[in-house]
Amino acid sequence: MENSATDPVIKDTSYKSAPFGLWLSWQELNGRKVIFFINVILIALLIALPVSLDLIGKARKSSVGTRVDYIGPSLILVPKGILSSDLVTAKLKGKTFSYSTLEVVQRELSRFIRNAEARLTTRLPINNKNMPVTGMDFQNVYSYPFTKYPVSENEILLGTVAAEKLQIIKNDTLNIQSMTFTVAGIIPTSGGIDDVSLFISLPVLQKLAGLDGRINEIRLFPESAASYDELKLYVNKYTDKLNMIDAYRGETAEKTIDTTLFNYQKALYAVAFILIALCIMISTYINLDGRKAEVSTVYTLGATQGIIFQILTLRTVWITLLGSLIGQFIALSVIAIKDYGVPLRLILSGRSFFEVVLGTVFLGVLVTIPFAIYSVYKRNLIAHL
Amino acid sequence: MLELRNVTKDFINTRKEQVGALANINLRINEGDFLSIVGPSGSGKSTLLFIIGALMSPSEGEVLLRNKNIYNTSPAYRSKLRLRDIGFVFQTFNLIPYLSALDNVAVPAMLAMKSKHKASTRAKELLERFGLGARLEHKFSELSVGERQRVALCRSVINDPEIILADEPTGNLDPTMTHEVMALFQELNNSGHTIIVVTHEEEVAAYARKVEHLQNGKFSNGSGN
Repeated sequence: MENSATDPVIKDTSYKSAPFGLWLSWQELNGRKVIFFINVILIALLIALPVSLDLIGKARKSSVGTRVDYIGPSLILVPKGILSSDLVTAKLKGKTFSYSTLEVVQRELSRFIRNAEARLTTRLPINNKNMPVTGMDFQNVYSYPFTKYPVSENEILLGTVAAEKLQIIKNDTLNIQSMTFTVAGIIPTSGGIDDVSLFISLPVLQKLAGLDGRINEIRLFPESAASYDELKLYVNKYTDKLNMIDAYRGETAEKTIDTTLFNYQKALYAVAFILIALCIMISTYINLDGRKAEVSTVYTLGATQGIIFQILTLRTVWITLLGSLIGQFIALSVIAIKDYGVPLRLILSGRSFFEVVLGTVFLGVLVTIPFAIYSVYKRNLIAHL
Repeated sequence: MLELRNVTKDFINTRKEQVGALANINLRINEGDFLSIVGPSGSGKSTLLFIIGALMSPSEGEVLLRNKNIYNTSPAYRSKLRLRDIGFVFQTFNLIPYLSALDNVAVPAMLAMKSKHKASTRAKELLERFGLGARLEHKFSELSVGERQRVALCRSVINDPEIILADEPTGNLDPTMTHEVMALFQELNNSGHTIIVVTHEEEVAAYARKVEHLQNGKFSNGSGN
């Protein structure tokens, strides 16, 4: 029966509706700002928690996989006779080598490494306690979290355990031999030797320890996993005065992370998904109850049942789209404000960030549409038109 | 142009009893007519209007628009018919509360695939013509009762329909507003629109060129011609 092209009454025009549906659903949400706001914030909060954890987890995992420098170096050069067990207990037996080795290493290994960092670790008596102190060249430091602290010659950083042991907090002063230092910060706990150590400028420690121009660690940060393997071969072949220690800091860190909340990422996504679906269904049900007259009006004015269906379900797209975007903004803000041990630049870069951000928006919108459709269908409003 | 042949409408009430709303209605409406259908509450006026407006199928009989039974067509076809060839005005205005007067009027034009800009331009012209040029951005709650009905009138004519159906259009208006609105219907009729108004008020019906009386689902003259 229906043939608008030949019918004299019905003018022949195409009859698309999506822009109208989008427009009217947006107007409806705009006209009911409080309900709209509550809906969007609920979705945003439900999305923010799993997204933030996922972003941090992914960033950590990817950096571990590629041995990026935030967790630590992949290789450490130490004097001959020093083992990794000595390194992790900060007992380097007074063995050192010249600072000029760093320049040689940087020149010789430039093909494989992105950075090299010199350290001197020794033990000094502080408040009658024999404590490990590490000297670092803070102008050329690459290890996280030290990159966050531009420590001057009169400043000192403490591990959390060291700070507790000495009963000092940030901005307190601490005397080491003849020098007075201001505490510039307490570094977050890492579960390693850093927690019980103190960190000062390399030249200052060299002077205090009477080891001018000496260091006992060069930390190497390879360009990539591939260059790491090449680097190992190269260093093994040509170095006879130094020992090479695999840091494995990445894997250690990952194991630490895996014992925390990140284990529950998938469960969190599932819970968030169920709550979002419930939220959408309840919201759609309540919305439909208040819109019977409006739906009848739009239908009377000439909207097809399909357009009515679109108007009622497209509001969900707006809510989920905005909720997802705001949720991710909240997630990133939380990550930026709270220190999770991963630099923000690492979280914001790379494929995993886009995967999470776009994936959440895309899935959030796509997954909620069936629930909105189901709610509209279940409410039986259109069938009565 | 529009013809109802032996139209009957029965409803089933909550006690599952059959209740007759319209019985054997025959009516012929020509192009350019201005018809009032007068009757008390429950006489079947609104049901008749809904059947004419392609909103409710009759239990029996035919509704022919240009010799084509509109209830032998698909729901989508009838939607197009309401969109392009029939305009509606209601007692309670049925404006969309969160839209401005301008957007309310533009809705049917947008549904008819006119761009938002074109629809708004046309809506603005109509609202200005109906004396609402200063109320374009006002929402439903910010308009007076008379203004709401004028907005509804503008909306009914934006797609330039041949037929305008009005269900108790002055039911909520005072006498001055009633005169203004009915005068607008007369103006629309003079410009070529076919108008069908259902009302329970004889004074309102008197604005039309033809008046039919409906009582218990039947025209008092036996048919409607």
